[in-house]
Amino acid sequence: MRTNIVQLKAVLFLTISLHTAYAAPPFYDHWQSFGIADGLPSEKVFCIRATEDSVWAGTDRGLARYTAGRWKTYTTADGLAHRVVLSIAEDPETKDLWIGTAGGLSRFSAGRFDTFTQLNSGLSNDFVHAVTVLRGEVWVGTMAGLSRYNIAQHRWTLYDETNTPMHEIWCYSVTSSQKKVYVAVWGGGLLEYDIAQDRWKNYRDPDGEMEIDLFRDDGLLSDVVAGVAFDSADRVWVASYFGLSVYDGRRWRTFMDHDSPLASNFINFVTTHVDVAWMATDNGLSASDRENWWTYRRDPDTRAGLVTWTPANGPAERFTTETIFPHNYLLGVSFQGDDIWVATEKGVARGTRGHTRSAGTD
Amino acid sequence: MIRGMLATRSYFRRLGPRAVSAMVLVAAAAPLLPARAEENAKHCGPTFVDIDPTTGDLLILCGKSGTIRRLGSDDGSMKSEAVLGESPFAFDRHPDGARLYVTCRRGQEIRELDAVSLQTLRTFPLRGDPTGVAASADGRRLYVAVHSLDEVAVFDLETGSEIKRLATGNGPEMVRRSPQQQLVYVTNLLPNPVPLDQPPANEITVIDDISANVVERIILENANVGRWIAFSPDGSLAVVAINRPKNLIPMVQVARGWVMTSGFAVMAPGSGHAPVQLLVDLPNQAYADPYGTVFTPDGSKFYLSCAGSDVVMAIDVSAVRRVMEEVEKGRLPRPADDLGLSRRYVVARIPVGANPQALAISLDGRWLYAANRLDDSISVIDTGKDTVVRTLVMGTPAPPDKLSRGERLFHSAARTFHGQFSCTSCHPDEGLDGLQYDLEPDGIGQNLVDNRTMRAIGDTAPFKWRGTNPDITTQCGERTAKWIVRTGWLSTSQVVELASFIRSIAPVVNPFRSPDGAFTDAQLRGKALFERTAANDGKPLPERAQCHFCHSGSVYTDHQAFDVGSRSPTDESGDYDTAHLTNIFESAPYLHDGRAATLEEIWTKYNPEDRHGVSSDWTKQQLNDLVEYLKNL
Repeated sequence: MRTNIVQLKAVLFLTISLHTAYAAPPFYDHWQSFGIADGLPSEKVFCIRATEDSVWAGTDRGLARYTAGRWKTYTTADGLAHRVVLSIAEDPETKDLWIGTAGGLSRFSAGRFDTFTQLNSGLSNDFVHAVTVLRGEVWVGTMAGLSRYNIAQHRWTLYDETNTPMHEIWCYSVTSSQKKVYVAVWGGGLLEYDIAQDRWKNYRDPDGEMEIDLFRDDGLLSDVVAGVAFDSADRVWVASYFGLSVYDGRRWRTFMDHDSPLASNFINFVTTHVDVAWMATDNGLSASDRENWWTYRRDPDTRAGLVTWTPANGPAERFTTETIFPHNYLLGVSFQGDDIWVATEKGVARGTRGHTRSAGTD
Repeated sequence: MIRGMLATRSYFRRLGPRAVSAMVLVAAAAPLLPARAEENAKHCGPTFVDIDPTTGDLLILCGKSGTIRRLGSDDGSMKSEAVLGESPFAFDRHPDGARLYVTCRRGQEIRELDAVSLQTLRTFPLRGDPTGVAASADGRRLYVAVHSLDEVAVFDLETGSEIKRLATGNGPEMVRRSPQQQLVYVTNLLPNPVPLDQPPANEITVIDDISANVVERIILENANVGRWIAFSPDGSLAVVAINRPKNLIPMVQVARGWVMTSGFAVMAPGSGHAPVQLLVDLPNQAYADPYGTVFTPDGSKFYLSCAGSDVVMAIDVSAVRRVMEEVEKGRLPRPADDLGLSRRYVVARIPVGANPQALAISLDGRWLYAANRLDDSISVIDTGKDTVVRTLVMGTPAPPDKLSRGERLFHSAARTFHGQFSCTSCHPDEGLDGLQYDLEPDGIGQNLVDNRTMRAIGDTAPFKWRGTNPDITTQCGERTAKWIVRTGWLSTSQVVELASFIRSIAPVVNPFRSPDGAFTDAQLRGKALFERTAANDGKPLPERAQCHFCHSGSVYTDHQAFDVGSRSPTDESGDYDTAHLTNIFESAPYLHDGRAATLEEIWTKYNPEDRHGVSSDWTKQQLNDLVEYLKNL
């Protein structure tokens, strides 16, 4: 069995090399899982964020930090706003961490937690689904709209249905490019904010149908948007519970599990890395540059990885890895150097690559 | 008179809200009372002193006259002087030695000076009360403490533009780069927020000079009012001047000599050991308001100025290291509470001039210079004998007038029991220390009260949270002697002088207020809410439920006491003086006992019955708008 796997990897390595013209997504062929036994406070991991020297996992029992091979947990006793950690962002300038919880927003700065809640600050709501930081401003997606905090000026600005085209106020995901902020509004589609123009734009499902897509590629697949990301080509990747939509500024493309290699239509989270989008779904992990696809799943019986490589102009290839993430219900993805980290329903996993180069590394 | 007021109101209505706000703000932002400005102009008020490494000259920042002076270190003769922004506070030298960077607190700017000519090369505006400053080791960046906003601003010195802000502790004060380390240390004047029943915790914020990010926050338990920080020449020790207030016990303990103790925190950077706090007090004599500190070039001693006691301490470093070792080994379990311990390391207590703050030491280590802020002089101390050998008088100072005498009284601990504290010990920089106290007159354990600022209170009578003192003279008179300082107090004329000085204390420049006085849209909406006469549903609000009814007039108080539902089980009454709102942004925590950590909490947590204005119908946006407006007042 081991020999077969190594052979498959060798074939795969050659195959990927032939497809380099498509900037194919990398292949993670080795996975290490982390659970309670490894030091996590809980295996229900809602989010994950890799920084330069640490990996941060948001669980239902606190914030866990992985550094130098060990996990350390921060809880409300340390000053964390709430034990349920839903989102994590790093300020690229100060390296402070901003943490969205089920009970407010925390800033973690050199060991100190500062907490912002709807009672002690201008934060609109304590249930913080999402947070991102751009040029000294923290954008916070909450259960009751979007809050914007200017760190230096200590000033809050609130966005909701009264001053934006926000049809619902459940802001599930927020991400920012240098020019725009994108907000995934659960039930309200995608909001785009042009920072320089101070102008909002709303993208919604043209057919208005939640569970079907009447006309392919006509726009956002569904208004039930759970995640949003953008790549360096300013393409916007929108995750919904009914499929994936990609907007390049001129036209939309949509991907569902019956018409693409997407692991599942139920996408919890999307992010981009080196112009490849990674979708954390309820049935595995997908990566795509819109043309080429990887899909990773855990075989519940063998616990091995079932990986499918679907190039744009070739037949799909399937193979097996000895290791894979601990559960197919994925909630987050982040990258640290060449490694990928995923948050799952049953712990955290780190994927590494390059093991095909030497049969001895496994 | 009423007719006149109505006429004035209609005039304002014609002008419109933006114009009116601009007028009010221009008036409110008037920097100093004329008498104070006139008095300041007569004085130097040395706030910072350093040695020119090339010439050995003294470079002195004059906080009152707003200048920098170059003095001959031998005779004190003035070689040159340059005008700076208002209230210069501190400077640092660029690593190339050619430039100085001076913070100007009220001037709201940093001046880049030619280190020889002292002429201004560039000016960097910075709102928020800039205090400490340090250049990075590579000379590419400048770190500036933004006192009012609890931040350090990082500037790119090539472009002169601000790169980013770093979160510090509460009220960052001094900024110093450590030798032999790639770290920058920031002291903080005020404690980090803690629950009401917890002692203060003062932070030292540590910045990595390579990444320009905060990498450590050193907490000094039970400490407050962090002032200067100094490093031994080899970088193995750092010393921070601190107060150690015991605000959780009744002030009756003043008479037992240990409500306010003074000393320093000493730490070995990079050792992994916690800082050790040590006192400079004696059992029967305290030395209030530790401020400046500097090491001798050979690292054998450091000096610590005790501004409230007009004394400079000489402290033996070897003895301090021995004490630190004993603490580390558990042989001295509570060194910070040991009033006898200072005999082991304080080798001299040197009387100097009035209110010594800044210290500097000559290049050869032979002379120590103590800047006596309130008598415009520099005490020159022979470090071999630890005695003052001469006093350099800054020009020809005018004899102190009433305000200056009052200022000296405010900053002197001479009239408190054992010299434990001065007014400024609890009101550092004439503001507040962020703590709550149990003043005894109404019973021990009752009526805990939050400290209040001394800035811009001249028109806010009556005083005390209960409003029982009709004027500052009463507030600072015999009751102070009986309930606070617990010893012989001031003469009647001295009380008048002290009150005059307090009335002259200006507000800090409000960083939330637009320089041109214009309101933001949010502030305008907040103003409308502040002045609303009807609830959101259109129903008229009773006058006492309207913010501007009680918080009225130029300083936003009607000078009356009301019960706004904030009475706690230990309060004997619910009636409290209507707080004035001038610069309310800087006086957290809020309400009479400091239970509200932020302005928002006044209404989100502590107004359940709508007795402190009707707030139950506010939207979150309205609350935010109101807070934006209040911070701007």
